[in-house]
Amino acid sequence: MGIANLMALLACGLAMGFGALGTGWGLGFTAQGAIRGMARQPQINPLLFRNMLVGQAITETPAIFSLVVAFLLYFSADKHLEAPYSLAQTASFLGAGLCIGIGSIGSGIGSGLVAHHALTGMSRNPSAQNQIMLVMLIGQAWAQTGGIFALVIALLLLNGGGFAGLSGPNDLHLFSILPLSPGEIVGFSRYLGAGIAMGFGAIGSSIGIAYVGGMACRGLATAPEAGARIKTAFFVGSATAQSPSIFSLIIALILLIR
Amino acid sequence: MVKVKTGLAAGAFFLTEGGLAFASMDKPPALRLLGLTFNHSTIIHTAIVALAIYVFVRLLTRRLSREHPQRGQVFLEILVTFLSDLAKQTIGPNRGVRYLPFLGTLFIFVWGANMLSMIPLRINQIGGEFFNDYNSNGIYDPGEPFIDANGDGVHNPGFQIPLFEEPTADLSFPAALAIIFVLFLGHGSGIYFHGIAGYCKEYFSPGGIMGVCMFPLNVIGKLAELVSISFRIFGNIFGGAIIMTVVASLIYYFLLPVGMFGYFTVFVGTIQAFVFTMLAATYIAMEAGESTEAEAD
Repeated sequence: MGIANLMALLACGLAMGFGALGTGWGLGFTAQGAIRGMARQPQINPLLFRNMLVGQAITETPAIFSLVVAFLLYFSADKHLEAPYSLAQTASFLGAGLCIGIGSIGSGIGSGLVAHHALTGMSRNPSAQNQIMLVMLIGQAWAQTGGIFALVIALLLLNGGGFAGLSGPNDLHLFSILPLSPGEIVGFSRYLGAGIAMGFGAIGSSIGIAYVGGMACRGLATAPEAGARIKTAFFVGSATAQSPSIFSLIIALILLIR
Repeated sequence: MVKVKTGLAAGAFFLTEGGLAFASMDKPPALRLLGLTFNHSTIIHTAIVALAIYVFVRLLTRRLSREHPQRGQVFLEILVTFLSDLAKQTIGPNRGVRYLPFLGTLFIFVWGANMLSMIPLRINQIGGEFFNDYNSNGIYDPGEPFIDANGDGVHNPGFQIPLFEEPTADLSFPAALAIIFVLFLGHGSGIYFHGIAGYCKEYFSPGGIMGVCMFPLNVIGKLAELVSISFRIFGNIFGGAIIMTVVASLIYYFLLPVGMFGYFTVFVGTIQAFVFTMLAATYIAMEAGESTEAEAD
């Protein structure tokens, strides 16, 4: 057991803690939309209830991703690592935990927002239900793309090998960490930097796409005849809102591959 | 507790070191040939799903009749109507019907793959070596023994693993489907309908000098579509499998929580199969959709 194994446990907590934050929020948003709609139109309660369950099942995705990474980190604590005392290995675990944890916040809130607006729209105009349902699912899926990038980076960070050449100080005494080799510091910065870049980069894009998708659902309820134009604007708008998270993905990959 | 830990540790180890597969412990590591990794468990399970769907659909369509439709026929007709509505709504009223066979196959295949772990057969895995008994240099290094229920130190106390696992919990299955349906079918139709010049123009999307600057971003954006569609279903199904394994092991298979199983396998599996199909249809529509202003509605 080295410091890296212990840090994997800390990262496990970070991943699941932050990951649950946004998802819980988003699940609440979804239910809020459904209940408000039920109060407005009691006769379509079964429809709203069914769509609420579907929306919540998709909104839950970021929490499941966090759970996967948290479990992998938890079991990394028992693993025989190449360099258990290496600071770079430590940073790769911490980076993975931060990446998926913080990256899940936006995904959870975003996909919940889309479902909220879709359910509100359905209660306003139940005849446009099919169209709204499709846009809701696409909007939720795209709002989660940032979280999926975070999952990719977290898995790559967990997968990161090449620690064999690095050897940190061989005990846990704090002051003996100070004389570090340059390779250690470079590795530490790279892995933690990649995790932070992708984690924070995913938040904004996800919430931004959620605004586009949510308003597209509301628009379809108000003016179903303009459906084709609304969908085109929705596709272009969310593709543009996606680009910042793609910047983050590129930087994270450059940091990892370098 | 020990059983869960060891079982998942070996599974997790294979995920991080091998080809991102939630492999069972008793099976040999994936076959490596010509620099490629073949995960035979995924291949066999995929074949089982394909065969099962063939047999099932053959049974349901045995006595087709226009006057007195059987129950199976009605079920399949509902399914086909639903999928053709989906294709028409996303891709367009005229071109959508052409894509119905592809999208229908995709949905039924992915759904069947997600339902595979419903078969309640399990293997009793006792003793033997673990993959994580080998360190990263391939040297046998079992480390400290685990303490089992009798207080004995053992390296592999044994545990139960499902006989059938969803192939969707292996990244290569959704990634292959994404390459076939989004890259080949979607982008191929884009070239077919818009010509090679019209297809390439998309990559310089705002046009002018701005378009040249945006070219690398557009290319990566298209690649990100593949990543997002395949990792979405992989993460969900793999996560569901981990949750079910942990919960089932914690209560020692005394009472499999049927509600949780129904939620994570049946409900989430169905919804994720539908989302996968619909996203593939949307990506195809973005390449090959009818010009929406003129024809839609």
